Amino acid sequence: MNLNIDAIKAQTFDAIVIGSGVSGGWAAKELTEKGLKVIMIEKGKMLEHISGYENAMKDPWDTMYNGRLTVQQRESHPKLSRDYPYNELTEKYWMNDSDSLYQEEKRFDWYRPDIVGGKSIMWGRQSYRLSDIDFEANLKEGIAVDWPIRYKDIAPWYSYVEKFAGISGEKLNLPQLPDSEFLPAMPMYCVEEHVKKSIFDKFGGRIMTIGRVANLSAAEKAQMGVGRSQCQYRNKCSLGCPYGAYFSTQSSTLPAAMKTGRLTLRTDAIVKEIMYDENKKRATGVRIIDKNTLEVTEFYSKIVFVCGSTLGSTTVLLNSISNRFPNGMGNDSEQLGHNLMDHHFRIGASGDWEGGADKYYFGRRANGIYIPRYRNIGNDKRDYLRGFGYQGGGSRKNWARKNGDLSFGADMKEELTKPGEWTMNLGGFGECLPYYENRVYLHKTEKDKWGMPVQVFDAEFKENERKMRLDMMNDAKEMLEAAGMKNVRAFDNKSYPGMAIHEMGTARMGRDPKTSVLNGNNQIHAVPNVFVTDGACMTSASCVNPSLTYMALTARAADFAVKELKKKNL
Amino acid sequence: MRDCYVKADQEKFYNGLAKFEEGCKFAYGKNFVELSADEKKDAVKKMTVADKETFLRLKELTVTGYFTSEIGATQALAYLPIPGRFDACIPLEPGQKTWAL
Repeated sequence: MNLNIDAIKAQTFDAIVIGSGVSGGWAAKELTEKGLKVIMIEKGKMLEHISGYENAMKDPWDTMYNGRLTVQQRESHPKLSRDYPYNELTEKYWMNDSDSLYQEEKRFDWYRPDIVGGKSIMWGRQSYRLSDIDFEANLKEGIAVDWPIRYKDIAPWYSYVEKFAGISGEKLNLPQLPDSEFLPAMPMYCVEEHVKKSIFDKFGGRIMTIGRVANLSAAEKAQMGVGRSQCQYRNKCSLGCPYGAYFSTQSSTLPAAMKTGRLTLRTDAIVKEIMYDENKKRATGVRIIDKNTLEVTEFYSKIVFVCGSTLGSTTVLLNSISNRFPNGMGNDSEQLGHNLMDHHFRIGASGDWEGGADKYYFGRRANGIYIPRYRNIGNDKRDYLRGFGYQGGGSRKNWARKNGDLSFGADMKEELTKPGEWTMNLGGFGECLPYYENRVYLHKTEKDKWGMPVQVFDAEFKENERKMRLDMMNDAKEMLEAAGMKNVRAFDNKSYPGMAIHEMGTARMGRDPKTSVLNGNNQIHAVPNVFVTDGACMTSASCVNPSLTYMALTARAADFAVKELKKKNL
Repeated sequence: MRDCYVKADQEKFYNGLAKFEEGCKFAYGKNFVELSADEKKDAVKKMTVADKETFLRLKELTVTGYFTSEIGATQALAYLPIPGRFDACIPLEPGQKTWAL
């Protein structure tokens, strides 16, 4: 056999980054900017910035179904069509159910992207810091294991990523929700100002603020430098933004990494496994399957950043089998795949407001309000652990408001051309505890069409979450009623794991290699040149939207990894 | 209707429309489209009682179709594809129409 030295050279990099979403994009940016030659490997197809966002500039009459799903799509996508993120206009961004053959011991709604940029294209962009109340909770309550880091470890890295990503929001100085480096806050509608004041006055200073969102309310040098511009207030973010006005891989981290000239992007490639050298006790690279040709190729590197999204990353680790790691790479603790978490939501209340009839708005704000967690904070003690925050917002009813009544004719038509009354909606996002028995594992025999074992989900929300949900619904109703809203409707639309697309855990960080997969630098305890920096690393879930934390952890781990490389420790 | 609704709902709706048309012929001796404006109003009014389900579906489809069409969105409503800025609270001027988007 001839060893083709040139070919091996072409397949050798300083670092391999698996995945190109929020975390992968940051890893690629940081590592290339620090001088490393990097290959970023993405399972999905190429999605070019701007030109790839085919539906972003479409008017309602340019679409076939005004965004609705067809019967055929519901039949061919029985899992994806369970909730709104999959629709007529986002079809090509998601992986087909026919390709995503995961199994459910218990219902799990898994939204898997199929594009470069991953979910950074479709994400909700809500961006919040965790606090020490989150980092200390497991230890104080004796739940799962302690986080190996505290707020002070990650705070400078939050600042670092926020200055580049651009987060709009309001400073509050709250212990449970530390402030970010903010771009100007977006203003509130009159109904929101009204509810905010009422909540503050009637519930002992309870806070409602404007959502903290990764949209450029103003573009600064750091963002304009990669070609981004200010938000145009079209509220079509999830289709991809031609103005680069919200943070995504394509708008932000990818152009920064490309500018270094040290990034290679390989699309349509499934990472089959990470290769391991028993003598060196290090990973040596990855083996990929070309999605179209099924050809298997190897890439080699000094370090590997696993950023394939929580469940994608854990799949790769579980599938990386060696003599040393018969149950998955880094799985000495038998925790890999366990402690799967997601936020529970789709519960709260809405109501109508008779005030503000003479007030309207200009532009479409792609952001709502936020009520930071107030339960089990300070002197508040409930019969469950942790807490929840509310997202939601006000709006004026539109032309669809009379669809359920029997009116018709010219008067009705005329009436519908005028703004309807104001409504206000509050929806809770609750923390889910890390339960060992909530898990994902690989099926022993079933494989997908690329020969990868299919994932099986066995996870559920439990008693603590159920008790919390009572508060989530009743508190929302109580706050809206106290604000004088009419027709207050409490709702519980049921929440299943996966639905919030905040899947976390399954390769948790911890202090002890016996009980955790990763250390405080997101390094696999037993394989120090492999870093897992996406949602898989989370030791607990907090109740805030998690992506900002992945950004900060990734930048922090990249900094650590390059320093360790220089010290020749990896 | 044909693409977004399951067969059973399609059939129910189409049958409802056919029955409505029959009713028009019976009552006025004409198809619905041939009726005068007052007769049309009268016929639809009867439909809200006789077949509420078909009426509501018809109304929803008509209202949605109209306000998401180019004419409905740009002429009956205020159409502004690229606002460029955001003001959360401004006076509602007389004659201000609902935002189309």
